[in-house]
Amino acid sequence: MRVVIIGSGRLGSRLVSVFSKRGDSLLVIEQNESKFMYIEDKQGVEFLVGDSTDEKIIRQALKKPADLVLVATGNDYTNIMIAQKIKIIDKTIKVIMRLFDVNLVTVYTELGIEVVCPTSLTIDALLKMPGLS
Amino acid sequence: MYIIIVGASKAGVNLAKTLLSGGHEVTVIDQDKPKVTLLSETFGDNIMLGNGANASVLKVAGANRADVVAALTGDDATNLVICQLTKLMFMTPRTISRVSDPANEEIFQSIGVDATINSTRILNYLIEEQVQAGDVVVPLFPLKGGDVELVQVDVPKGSHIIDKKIKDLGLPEGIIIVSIYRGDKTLIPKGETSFQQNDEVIAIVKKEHIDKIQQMFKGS
Repeated sequence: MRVVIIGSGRLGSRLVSVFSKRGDSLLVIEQNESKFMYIEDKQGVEFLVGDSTDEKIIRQALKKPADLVLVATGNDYTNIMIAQKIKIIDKTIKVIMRLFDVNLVTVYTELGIEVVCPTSLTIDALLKMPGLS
Repeated sequence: MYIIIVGASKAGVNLAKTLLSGGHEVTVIDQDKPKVTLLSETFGDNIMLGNGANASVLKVAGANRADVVAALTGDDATNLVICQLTKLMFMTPRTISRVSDPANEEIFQSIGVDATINSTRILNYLIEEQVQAGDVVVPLFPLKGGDVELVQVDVPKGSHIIDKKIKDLGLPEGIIIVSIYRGDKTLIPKGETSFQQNDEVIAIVKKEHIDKIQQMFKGS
């Protein structure tokens, strides 16, 4: 599977490790080149430096057809704009974005974009802890 | 009407003032505390501190009864979220977004923003309009009193005044040539000074003579 990961911060860099261990083909896009150093195993990983809210960068990243795009910059609003631009360029591609703001999760799930929300996941995990359930 | 403006930029503040003086109800939201404190002297309860892309903040601002939400922050992504959030969560009838990157205009409108304002495009349009109209006189600023203006006039190719001396132009009393910018130098002209193509001329002109100076400098 070919996976595009947008953002190479704490989440993006970990995602690279996990997916490359699975044997997937990976492309990482990051605006700030120095953040590529968070990635531990760079072997076989493609890198693209650029602003992913720019349509030209998205098109360049999708030249080789991707099966999955994970939008993982640290900013909810940036992720939302990127995810929607990708959907405009290619409706069929599977896009999952990370959003911290729970209210935004409701809005964009309604708009048909898949979302992972660390805030909700943390709350769920907390409530399952011994003594809290 | 009730209008919520997110982003106390110059545009946001001036829009709020205009709308308030027109009798509308307005709330301005901005997350910069010093800015909000300063502006609250003018706007009182009409300004609110908070992140305008946050649903809780918008709820307190009364987004559910707003007729228009204007997203005027300097960040395109934030503006997009403000418009989509208010549309979907608060059923705002009309959303307007400021767009800094012209490439975003069409995209924003295709995903639910009712109107976009792009200052780059507006400027381009205004300049194009000027050029098309063939105007060579560019107003710089009005002088006190209002009926006299400082203007810039360029000498285009084929202009009637090329090689003519100022003293031979028969300038009326209401036009004074102040300076001529030629090459890299600014000349203070005398009666003997003559014009050349591409001169940038600064003049003080009575408003009633603006058409006249336009005619004099016009190209072929």
